[in-house]
Amino acid sequence: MDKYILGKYVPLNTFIHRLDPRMKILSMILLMVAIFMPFPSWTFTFVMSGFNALIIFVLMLISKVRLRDIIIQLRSIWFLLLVLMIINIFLPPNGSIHIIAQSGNFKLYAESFMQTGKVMLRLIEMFGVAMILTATTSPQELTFGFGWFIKPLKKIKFPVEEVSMTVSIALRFIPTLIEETNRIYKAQSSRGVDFKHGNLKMKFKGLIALIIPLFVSAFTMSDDLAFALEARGYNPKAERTSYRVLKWSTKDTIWIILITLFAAGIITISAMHLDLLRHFFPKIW
Amino acid sequence: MNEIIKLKNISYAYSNTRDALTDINLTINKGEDISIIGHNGSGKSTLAKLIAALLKPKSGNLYFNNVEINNKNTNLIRDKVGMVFQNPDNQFIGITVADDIAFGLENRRIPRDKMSQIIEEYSKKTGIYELLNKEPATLSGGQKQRVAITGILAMSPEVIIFDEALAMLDPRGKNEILKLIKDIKKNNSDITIIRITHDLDEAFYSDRIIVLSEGKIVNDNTPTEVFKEEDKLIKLGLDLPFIVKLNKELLKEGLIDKAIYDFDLLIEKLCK
Amino acid sequence: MQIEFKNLYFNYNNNSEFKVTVLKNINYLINKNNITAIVGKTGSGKSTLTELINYFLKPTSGQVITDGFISENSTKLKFKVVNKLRKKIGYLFQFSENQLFEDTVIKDVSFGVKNFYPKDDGYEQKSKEALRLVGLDESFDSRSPFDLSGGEKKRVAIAGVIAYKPDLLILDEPTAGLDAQGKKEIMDLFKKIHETGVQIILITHDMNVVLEYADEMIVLDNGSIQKYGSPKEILKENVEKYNLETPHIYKTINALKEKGIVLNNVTDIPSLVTELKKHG
Repeated sequence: MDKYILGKYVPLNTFIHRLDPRMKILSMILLMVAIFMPFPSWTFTFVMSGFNALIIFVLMLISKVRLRDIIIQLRSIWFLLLVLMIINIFLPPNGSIHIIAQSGNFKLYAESFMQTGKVMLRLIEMFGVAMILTATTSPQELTFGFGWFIKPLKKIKFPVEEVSMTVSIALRFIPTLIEETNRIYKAQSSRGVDFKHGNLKMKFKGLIALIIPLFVSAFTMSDDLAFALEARGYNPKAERTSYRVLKWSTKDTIWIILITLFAAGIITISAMHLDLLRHFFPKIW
Repeated sequence: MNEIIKLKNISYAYSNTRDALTDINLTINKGEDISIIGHNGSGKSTLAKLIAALLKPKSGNLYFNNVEINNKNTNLIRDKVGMVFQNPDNQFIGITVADDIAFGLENRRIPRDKMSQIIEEYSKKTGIYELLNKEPATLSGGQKQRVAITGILAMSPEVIIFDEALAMLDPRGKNEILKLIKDIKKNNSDITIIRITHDLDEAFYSDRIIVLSEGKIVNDNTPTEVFKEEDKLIKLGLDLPFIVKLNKELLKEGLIDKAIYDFDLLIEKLCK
Repeated sequence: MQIEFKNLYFNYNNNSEFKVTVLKNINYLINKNNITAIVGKTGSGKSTLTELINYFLKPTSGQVITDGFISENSTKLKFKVVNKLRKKIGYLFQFSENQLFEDTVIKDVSFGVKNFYPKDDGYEQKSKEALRLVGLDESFDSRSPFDLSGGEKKRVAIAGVIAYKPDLLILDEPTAGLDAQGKKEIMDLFKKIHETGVQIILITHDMNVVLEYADEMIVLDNGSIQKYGSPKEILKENVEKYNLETPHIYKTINALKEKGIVLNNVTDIPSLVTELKKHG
């Protein structure tokens, strides 16, 4: 539990926690777009990226998502970044001109590192945005929010309610299944299984010893659940009312306007294909 | 007395095994508090599911309020018969307590405003109002069963079936739920309670006991009568409640002249 | 087997804002080949205590010393060392009937023996002995565990943890959900296993079981040991403040005491009746 996983809800009650999930989902999409907007020069790209990072950092502060947790996330993909860097070194990005070192035919460009840095920054920002959403929005709110967005699909006979119900029940049973997994894990460990070390055969055997009982349990669980659903009068084909309603408040409107303005600004600047830095501060450049 | 549930020549078999229940004839009256007892595997849970029309009998007929139940009118039972299952986790459908209570109401298309009202009213009655926003993982087994019962009460049922609903609870949870059932009965004497149990201490306090063995009804009588046949019960893997055992010994030694099954009264008698 | 808890503290999520203190300052020594019952309401830390014995958990501070193996917060345990300890302990979890996975009963029972003693080819013999001890005859050996009844599955699970001949058996709620006869049969079985020299630690809610089977009991409440000693002595007192149920027989004695009838040496119904008769 010491390690945060991407998508883990943190049950606090910050300002952002209280916002409408639909607004948060929409904001996330807008911010992601802003993060990935291209800009004409390296310096300008980094300045804009820094600007995005600042905004996201402020949101993180409000929602109490810690930078440390994002760094932990990155640990799992540092290898990917390394591969990316190597690719960038051997296949420099288009228009690379700044040579740092040269050995025979091989030229080492500064742009290779800048490109890697750019991707890394964007990834951190992306993780940041995703974590703000998942840390402040409970899984059921997320389901509800997404359910609202896919509602128009009902017109093409897509079973929106059934899918929402399935997802929500699945979410409900994740903790129960984790508990069950832990119990079986411990039971088999106490019979001498080494899940972490040991040779491949041992690990495979351990996995079987874990998975089969888990399946048996899951089947029992789904049997019980089917009876419970039926006993309480659930009929997937019938119309149902909904206890949970999403409440869009003025706060949400203000926020979505702010975020839209921000994203629109970034997109506009990007669309201008203009290095604004050079435009406004020609002397420094 | 008005009969509310009637089973006529009902048999049931799970796929390719011998009959789980054979030729069950049983009439349950409105307002009765009845226990169906039997050892593990005697078919008592199957019987509960047949009564609730969650399983379809291989043969025989089920009547609810004198109407024969078939494929088309199971909703008659759905609306009026609630069932609390053994495993508190596997019947908890909502992500929070309030959502879970709401589930049955949503299925019956109750408008939202009314739903909130009903949830508030019944959660106060069963003492879980403070828990409405809690998630199941943070609740005890007893609290989860209380939520299940609240969800049923919110539907104003005529019958509640407790299918070994106490078996997975700790003593504290058990006592809580037993007391809640007592309160439900006290507030509404018309409600019919069916308890599926192997806890004879629990069964002892109902009006009538049905003893099930190997898929057949082997006894159907008042608790005191049922418990007179001690040897028969022990042979069925059941054990007498402590109070009955105590009475038996006291009678044998002549310390009392007739059985007293109320604990406090018995103590008083012994002190005289 | 000697098990010692020394200034033991245990918290879940120790380094976060969701920290939960489960055990505080536990000091206790289990040093006899007893049946030791650990009791307390749900959430009192019973299972945490036994999981610390088996190295499933590490103390937040303090020590757990099991048969000379020391576990403390800084210990980094190698799997080989852990398994040296675990082979001495049979741990039967709640709902143990759900842990079976092999295609035959005998294979499932052998699983632990093979894991702990990979070079020993007597595993089949050991497994058979374990199965006979729990009361399952040869006809069960080659059956699939999934075709058995709940009670039979439970017996296979028990055979699976005694087949590798542990010195200590930890039982987590072994009687939960069983009917009266099932309960008696399984507890008598554990008593029989105990008589072959296996020490037992028993977690249970059932005070009648504790009274009948345990030699020593530990009462946990709010994360610390509230009482320990002989069940007969402890259960006589008011244990309801720890959310435990007084066994029926003591409830009766206490009720009589309140009315002025004091009875001694009563442990069951016959002795109660005899004493009552003496009393007139």
